[in-house]
Amino acid sequence: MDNILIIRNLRVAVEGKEILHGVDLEVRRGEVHAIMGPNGSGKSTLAAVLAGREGYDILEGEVLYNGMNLLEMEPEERARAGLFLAFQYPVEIPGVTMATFLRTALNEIRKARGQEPLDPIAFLKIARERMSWVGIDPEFLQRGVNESFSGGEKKRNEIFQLLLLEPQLAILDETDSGLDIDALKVVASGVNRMRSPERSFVVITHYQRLLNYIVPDVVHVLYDGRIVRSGGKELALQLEERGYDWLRAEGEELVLPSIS
Amino acid sequence: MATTELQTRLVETFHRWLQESNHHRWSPHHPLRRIALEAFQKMGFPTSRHEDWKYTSLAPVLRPAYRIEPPSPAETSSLLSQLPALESLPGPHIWMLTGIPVVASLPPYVRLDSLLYSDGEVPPWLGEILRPDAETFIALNTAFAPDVATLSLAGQAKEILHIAVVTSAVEEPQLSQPRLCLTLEPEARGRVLLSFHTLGSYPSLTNFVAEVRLAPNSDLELILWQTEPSESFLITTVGAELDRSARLTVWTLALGGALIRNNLYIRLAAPGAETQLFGATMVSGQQIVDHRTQVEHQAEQCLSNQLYKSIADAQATVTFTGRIYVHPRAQKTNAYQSHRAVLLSEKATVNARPQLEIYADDVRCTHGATVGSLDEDALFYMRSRGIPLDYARALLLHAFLSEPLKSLSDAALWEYADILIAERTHLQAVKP
Amino acid sequence: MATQQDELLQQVTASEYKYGFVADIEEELAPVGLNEEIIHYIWERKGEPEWMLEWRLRAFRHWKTMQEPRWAKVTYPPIDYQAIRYYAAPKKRQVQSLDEVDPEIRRIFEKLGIPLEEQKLLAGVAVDAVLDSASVATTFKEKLAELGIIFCSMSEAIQQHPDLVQRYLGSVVPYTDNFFAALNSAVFSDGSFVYVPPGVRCPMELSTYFRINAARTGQFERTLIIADEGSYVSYLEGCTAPIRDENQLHAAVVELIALDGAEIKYSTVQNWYPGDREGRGGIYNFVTKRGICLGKESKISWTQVETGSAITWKYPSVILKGDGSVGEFYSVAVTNNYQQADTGTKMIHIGRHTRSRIVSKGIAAGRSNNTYRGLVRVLRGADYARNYTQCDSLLIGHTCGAHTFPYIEVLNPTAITEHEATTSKIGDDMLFYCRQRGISEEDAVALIVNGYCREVLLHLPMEFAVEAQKLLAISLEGSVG
Repeated sequence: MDNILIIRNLRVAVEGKEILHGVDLEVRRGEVHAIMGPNGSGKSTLAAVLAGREGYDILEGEVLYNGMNLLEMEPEERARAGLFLAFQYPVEIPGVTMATFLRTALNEIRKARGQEPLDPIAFLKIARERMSWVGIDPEFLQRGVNESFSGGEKKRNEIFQLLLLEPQLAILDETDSGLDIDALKVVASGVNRMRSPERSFVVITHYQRLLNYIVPDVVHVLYDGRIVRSGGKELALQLEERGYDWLRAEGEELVLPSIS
Repeated sequence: MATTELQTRLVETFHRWLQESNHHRWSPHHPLRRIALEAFQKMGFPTSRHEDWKYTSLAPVLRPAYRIEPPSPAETSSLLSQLPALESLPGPHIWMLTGIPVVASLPPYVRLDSLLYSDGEVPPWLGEILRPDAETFIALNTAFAPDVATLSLAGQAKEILHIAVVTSAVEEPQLSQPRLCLTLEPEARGRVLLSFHTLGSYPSLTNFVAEVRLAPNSDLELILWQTEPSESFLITTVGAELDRSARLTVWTLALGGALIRNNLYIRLAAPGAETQLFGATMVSGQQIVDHRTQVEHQAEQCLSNQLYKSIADAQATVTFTGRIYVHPRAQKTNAYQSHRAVLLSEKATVNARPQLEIYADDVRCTHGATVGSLDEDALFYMRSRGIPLDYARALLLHAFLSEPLKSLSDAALWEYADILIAERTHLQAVKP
Repeated sequence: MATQQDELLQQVTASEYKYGFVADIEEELAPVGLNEEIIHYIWERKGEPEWMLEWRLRAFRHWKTMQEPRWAKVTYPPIDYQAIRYYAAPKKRQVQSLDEVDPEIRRIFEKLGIPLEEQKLLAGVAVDAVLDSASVATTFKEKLAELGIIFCSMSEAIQQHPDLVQRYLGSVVPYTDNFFAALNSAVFSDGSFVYVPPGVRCPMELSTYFRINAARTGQFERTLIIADEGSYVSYLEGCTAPIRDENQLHAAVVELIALDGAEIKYSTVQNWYPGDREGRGGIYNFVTKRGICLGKESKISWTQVETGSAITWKYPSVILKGDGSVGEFYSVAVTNNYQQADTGTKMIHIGRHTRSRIVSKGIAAGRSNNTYRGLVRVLRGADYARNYTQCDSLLIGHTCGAHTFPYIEVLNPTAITEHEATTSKIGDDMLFYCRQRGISEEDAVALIVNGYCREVLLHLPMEFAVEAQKLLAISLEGSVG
């Protein structure tokens, strides 16, 4: 079994309220999984828990990442082990230039991989190249992290970081929200460029639109804190046509095993 | 600190009262009054070397030979026949006549205790929110207040409770020391208008002190109305303590008087308490208005917000000192404060001291203070549309000053405030 | 995770103060205590002219009538001014050239990273090194002299340029100004003197490095910088002290004078010994710094990075007298453990069209207290004066305090002043974002703090900015909140 990520019966609460009621998911190396679901179904909670954000109580279950117990790792350890989260709401850090921030990050990750740190010149070269892939002006490197970036710029910046840090598992948390069709295509082409047999993606989205451009291997439907249905990419189209309500009608017993 | 003549006379008077009075409940023999007198003697009247009085000199305030005695019952009843007409304000429910509370009519949700009305006990918590040893004028009021009006509000009041504070200086200069205790019962909602007036042409000093207790989930709107043009001196001190999820909103409209000093001490003592303080001030001639606010965040998740706007014309002075104090345990505090001032004359003065004192880390606190003249771009824009300069200026001043009062929930009061501000900014006079 | 943060909080500074060594050099020490005899002693040792003795004695007599100021938000046990030594100087110091500098003294400054050999210096920095009470070496003197720039020790200036010293000494900070300025005027022993002639742009950074070495000794240096019409000078100041259990007093006075069109840029990286984790020892830093923009269109800019000292009491100020003159104050103050800082500025607008800008960044960690105190005063005649003030405070942990006490006094209707202040903590979301990109929590804090201070650090000369960034990270090590 070449699973990069295994989630077993994950139950998570926030401020005493259970959000995830037992999520099971397996992602194999090289696969792109889409997780779809209506607002409040727990999509972003799942992303946050995988990345190690504070404030989430794990009630039950386990998460294995490359065979390691992910839930016991610090956020930076997860990042250094190749787990990347593209944030739904990227944070502004005033005064810290993108260049400083990303060189520090990249060199930490390189260190963990046993690679030499990059000097500023080598870093700039690779950063500029990756920025051009997603159409970001190299001048952004001298700006504060996400500082006075537009919504679309922030999202493209997340994908640029994905390109730069070359993770093994990338989680995209509603990266498509608030993007026009052109920006969406740029984001998708960045992701597609990174697809390889060694790299997996979990694409969290509310709409099917993004999946026209990032074609998933597997689609899961997260509904009320559970994965209620899994299928091929055609499942996404079905959801687009019929909405999420038809799942409600079919009730809770609709839990299917993931098709691994 | 030099002992002033007034201070000497006050101490002598107190000792005379001690000999003359019997031991009734709020006599000068009351332990709190004696503690207060000692505190007053110890502190004396502050000079401008005192940090709290750095910008406001009390010298002219302390000069007149005030009568210290409160009015006798006979004087009080004769006063009742010459009360001022308060024009557009709602008819007062309670008069405080040179410190003596007199009821005109009481709404059903209000209970009043005082010496005059119920031979009442003073509340056991008197002097707890505003300790007599904290400040000279609190000490002075605590020692000399002839009566304590204790009001208790329950239920959901819709109408405004109007308390008119009147100092009569018809025959001689008068020192007046009204004292108020106000309680809001749990879940109660109340609105209280405190308006300040004087009678007669002699100088007067009104030293008003109020302690306010807000029980859990209660909500009080307090309006301080200081608009009467006069040569009088007014010092007000309001101390409030807010219990869990209580709300207090205070509006201060300061337009009249020779010298006004307003002290607002707000203590957010339990989680979820919230206070909003608004002030609009316009002074001219040689007027002095000095606002001091202190908001103490003692508990978690409290909110405070302050917006004060001031205009100083002629040789007038406005001073604003606002302190936000966040205790170590008051995490998740949100505290905001803003003072904006406009100077209209080359002889006017604005002083601002916005202060933050913060001992908790999970807080968001901001303060801002600006001093400037009118927005030249806005003036030019209006003039380029054909509006005369004078009128454009008045429009801008009016809009500037009325902003803090916009949130007044009583429409009639807001309209009246708006008219007064329009008068002061000469809006009507210059209208083309 | 929360308990982990608490643990981190308690670990406080992992790295020790690295400048804390004591050097063993032969010093000439005055007897402990302060009286008129001591002032005579200092005056004699320095071989000063008669007028200096009179000035010192006037200052001393005035000082005796004064009270130590207690209005700042700092607490410390009473200082016994009779238990301090007011003069200590290396015995071998009368040197004609740098080659003659005592090798032991040279080693001290090398250990501090301040080599005195000119050829080893960073290009463009001339150094005056002050050890305890005496200036021990000034570099690049000849090269500067070619341009007419005087850069020497204060003692030398009193001998060689008495006219300039007599005219300007005490003209910005008179000895009557405050308790510590009076004390300094009475007992100061050395410091730096700079004069830049009209129209000359000083081609290199001038720098003084202050070092306290002797025990039980106060340091009272005096700096005077005069920028004549249309000139420019950038001056840097650095300082360190040995680790000692006792508190040592540092009471300096700095006076800056900018004539018509002149510009003075004064940068400080203050790293006096801050005391240990329990708050023992450390320097009491009571400093009066003030500049006057005497001439029209002149400019004085203060930039400071304050990470050291047990107590900092310091308000570098600008009197904006000349029409169109400009005053600036850029400050970063970091306090950790039991440090206390009460610092800020005064901008006094007298002339028309004068402008001032204040940017203050306070960072408090550990059990420290960090206060901004500032005054913006616009006098009646200061038509069209402008001030902008931004004061930000950052709290790391819940056992420290951050305070902001501005005073704004405006007496002119055409003036505009703006003051904004914020207090906040390092956002959890910011920390998480950094950590998700592989950056450790400690590094993330350092990164965020440096970003927070960037606007100030940008005003430091390059070499200093790099040093300051490292210093910020070291000062906050282990204080993650």
